[in-house]
Amino acid sequence: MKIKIFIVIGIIPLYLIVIINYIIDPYGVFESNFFKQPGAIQERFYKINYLTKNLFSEILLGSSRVGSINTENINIKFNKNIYNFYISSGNMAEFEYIVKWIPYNLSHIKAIYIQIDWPENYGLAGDQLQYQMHPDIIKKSKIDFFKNYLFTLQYEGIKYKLRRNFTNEYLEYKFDFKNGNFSYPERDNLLKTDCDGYQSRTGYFKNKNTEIAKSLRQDSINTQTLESISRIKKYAKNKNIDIIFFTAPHNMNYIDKINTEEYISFIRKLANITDFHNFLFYNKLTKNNCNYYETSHYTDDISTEIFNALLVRNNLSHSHFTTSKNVDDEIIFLKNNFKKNRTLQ
Amino acid sequence: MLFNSQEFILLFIPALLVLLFLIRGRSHNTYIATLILFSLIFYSFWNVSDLLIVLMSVLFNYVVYKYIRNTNNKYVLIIGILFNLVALYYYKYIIFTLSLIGINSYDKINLPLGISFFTFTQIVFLIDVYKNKYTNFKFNNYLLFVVYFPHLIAGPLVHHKDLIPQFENYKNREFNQNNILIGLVIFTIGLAKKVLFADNLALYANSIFNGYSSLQSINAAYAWTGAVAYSMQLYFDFSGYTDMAIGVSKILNINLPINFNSPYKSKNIIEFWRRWHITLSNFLRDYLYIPLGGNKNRIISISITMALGGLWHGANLTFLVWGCLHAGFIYLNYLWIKIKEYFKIPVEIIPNYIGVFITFICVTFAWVFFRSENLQKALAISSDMIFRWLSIDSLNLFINEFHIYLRLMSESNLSMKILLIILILSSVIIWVLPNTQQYINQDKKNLCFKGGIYEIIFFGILFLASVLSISSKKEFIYFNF
Repeated sequence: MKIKIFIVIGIIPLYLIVIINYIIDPYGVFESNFFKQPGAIQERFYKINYLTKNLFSEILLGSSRVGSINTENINIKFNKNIYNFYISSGNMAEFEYIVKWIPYNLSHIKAIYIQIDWPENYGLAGDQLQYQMHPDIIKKSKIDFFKNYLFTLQYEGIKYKLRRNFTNEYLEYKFDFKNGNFSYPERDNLLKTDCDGYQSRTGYFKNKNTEIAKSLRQDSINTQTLESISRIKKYAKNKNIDIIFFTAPHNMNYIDKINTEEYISFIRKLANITDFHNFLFYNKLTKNNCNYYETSHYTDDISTEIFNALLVRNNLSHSHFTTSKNVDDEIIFLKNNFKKNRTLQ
Repeated sequence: MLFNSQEFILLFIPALLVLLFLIRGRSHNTYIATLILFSLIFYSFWNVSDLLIVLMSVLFNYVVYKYIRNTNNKYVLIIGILFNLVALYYYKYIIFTLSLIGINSYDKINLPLGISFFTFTQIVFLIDVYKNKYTNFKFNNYLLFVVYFPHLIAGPLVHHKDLIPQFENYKNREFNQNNILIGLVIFTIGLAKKVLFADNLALYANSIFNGYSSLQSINAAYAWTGAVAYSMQLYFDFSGYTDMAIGVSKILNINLPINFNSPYKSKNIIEFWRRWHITLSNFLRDYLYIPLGGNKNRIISISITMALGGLWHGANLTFLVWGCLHAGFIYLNYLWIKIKEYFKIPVEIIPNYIGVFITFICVTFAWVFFRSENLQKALAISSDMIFRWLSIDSLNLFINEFHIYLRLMSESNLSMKILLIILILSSVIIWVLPNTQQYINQDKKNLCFKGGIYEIIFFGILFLASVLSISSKKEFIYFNF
C-alpha cells in the first residue's frame, strides 16, 4: 500500500509532466505540432536550427528591439538576403557566442548587422526556458537541453500556448517562421490609422522620464558589452565576415533615462573599437512616438530608414556614421542634442 | 550517468527493474550478467574508453587473485599491489609529481572515473585473499563486485566478503516491496540532500571561493561564509550521494555499508573520523594505520595515514596540507586526552556542544585547503578567517567590516535571505534531526521503515520536488577523487 502511495505521488506525476510537456510543447523545441498555434517561441533554438537548413547570406542580430524589422521587405528593396536573427532579451554576450559559431557552421554568411541596444544586461539567460541558448552554440549537451524542457513545470508557457489555441487571447502576436521577425498587425494598423488614439489608449508614452544616475552596475555592463564588441570585431575580421554595428534608435522617452555622461563615455569607447552607425539620439525617428509599439520596441515602419543608413554609410539626419576619427565631433553633437531635447530639462 | 539525473531515475532504474522482473525465472548467471551489463552501461555514460581500463584492471586482479589462492605466493601479491599502485600513480599523480620537479609540459592524462575507489577495493581484496585464503569466487561475481554501479564511482568502499555473498544469494533476486520502499525513501533523502541543499550551498561556496584569486585579503565574514557553505555543501553532497547509492542498492536487495553517521555532531576530531567517510576511514585504519604500528607508533602512523589519505583525494599540495592539518588536530586531541588523564580532569569539563562547535570549526577550516585549487587561494581565505577576524578590535571596525560583507554579497548576487534560510535548514538537519540510517532504523540489523501514510506522502512529494529541481548536470564532488 505504502509503495503504491509513493509511486502515485512521487513517480507517476513525473511521467505525466514529461508527457504533457512533450505534447503541449510550450516553447516548440520538440516540434511535436499537436497544436495549431505556436506558443512562446524559443527563438535561440529555433533560429539556429532554421539557419542550418536555409541559406541566407547575411543576418540581422539583436534583441527583440530589432525583431520588428521585416527582412523580406528589406531584401526586396535592397536586393539582399538577410535573416532577422533577433533574440528576445538578447545581449552582446549571446551575440558573441553566435558570431563565433557562424564561420564553422554557416560559412555562407558574409555579413552580420548587429544592433547595439543601450546595455541593460550581459551574459547568458538564467533559468528562463524561453531564453536558453542553443546547446550547439554554447557547446553543451543536447540531452541536457531537452531534459530541461521535459522535466520543468512550464506553467506559464503551457497556459500561454493553451490560451492561444483555445481562446482569442494573445493571438495578435505573429512570428514569421520564414524571415525570423515578429509583428503585431492590429497595432501596426492602429498606429498607421489612429496613432494618437493608440497612444492615449495604451498610455505607453505618458510617463515623464528623468535621467538615471550613474551606477557601478551600468558601468560594469557597458564595459563587458564593449569588450564583447571588441572580440566580435577582431574575430569577424579574422574570419572575413563583414560586421556592421549600429546603435538602437530608442524612443525619446527611453533616451531621456540614459545618463549622458555614461552614454558619451560609451560612444567614445565604442568608436575606438569599431565604426558604427549611431541612431541613439533625439532625431526624426526617435522623436516620433508613432514609430513605436511602446518606448522599447520600434515598428517595421522605420526599418527602411535604418537600412538606408546602414547600406549607404553616410550621415543622415537620423543616423551618423561614427568612427574613431570623427567621434569628437559626434560627442559634441550628442551633448548639444541631449541638452536641447531632454524633455524635462 | 548521475544518480541525480532524470535518465537514471526514470529510465535506467525502471528499465533494470523491468528486466530483472522479466528474467526472474532464468538462471542466476543471467541475473548477475544483467547487473554487470547495467553497471557497465552506467559507467560508460561518462567515457566508454575508461570502461576498458576498469575491465582490464578487474581481469588483471582476478588473475592475480587466482595465483595467490593457488600458490599463496607473497611476491605475486606484491606484484599485484604494485601494478595497481603504478596504474593509479600514472593516471592520478604523474603530472603532479612532474610539476613538483618543474616539468609542466606533460599532456593532461584523462583520469578514469572512480579509479581511486576501484583500485583501493581490489588491493584490499588481494591482501585479504593472501591472508585468509578465501573460497573460490567466480569471475562474474568478482566482476560485479568491482563494477556494481551503486558503489563504483564514489563508494562507499565495500569489502568483498560483505558484497559477493549477497550477489550469490538467490533470495536477493526476489522483489521485496519492503526493501523497495526503504530504498526509495533513502534515495529520496539523498537526492533531496544533493539537489535542494548541496547544489544551493554550492552557489555561495563557489562564488566566494572563486572571488579569491590571490593572497589579497577580502573580508573575514565573507571567507567564513564561503567556508561554512562549503563545509555543509560537502556533507550534503557526499552523504547525499552515499544515501542514493545505499537506497538504489537496497531496491535491488543488496545492502551497502553506511558511510556517514552525523559527522558534524562529533565532539572531537577523533570521533569525526569515525563518523565521516566511514568506509575509507576503516580501510585506512586496517590497511595503513595498523600496519604502520597503530597506537604503538601513533605520531608516525597518524602522520603518514592522514598525509596519504589527503593525497588519495587528489594530486595537489592542498590535499596534502588538508591531511596534515587533520593529523595535527588528531595529535592535539590525543594530547588533550593525556592532559585530562594526567591532571584527572573530569570528562564533562567541556560541554558537548562546545566540543561539537570546536570540531566543526576545525573541520571547516581544514576544508578550505580541500576546496581551494591552490595553496595561495587557501592561504588567502584561511588568513581572512583567522587574522582578519582577530584584527577586528572595535565596534566601528566591526560595522565597517559588516558593510563590506553586505556589499560583497550583493555584488556577487548572493541573496542574504536565501543564505540564512539554507543555513538554518541545513543546521537543523545536521545537528538536530536524526541521520538517514537512524531514521530508517539501520542501527538494528533488519532495516524497516516505520513511517505512516503521511510520511510516505511527504517522501513522495519530496521525491517529486527533488527530481523537478534537477535543472542541469551537476556532478558530485567526490567524483573528482
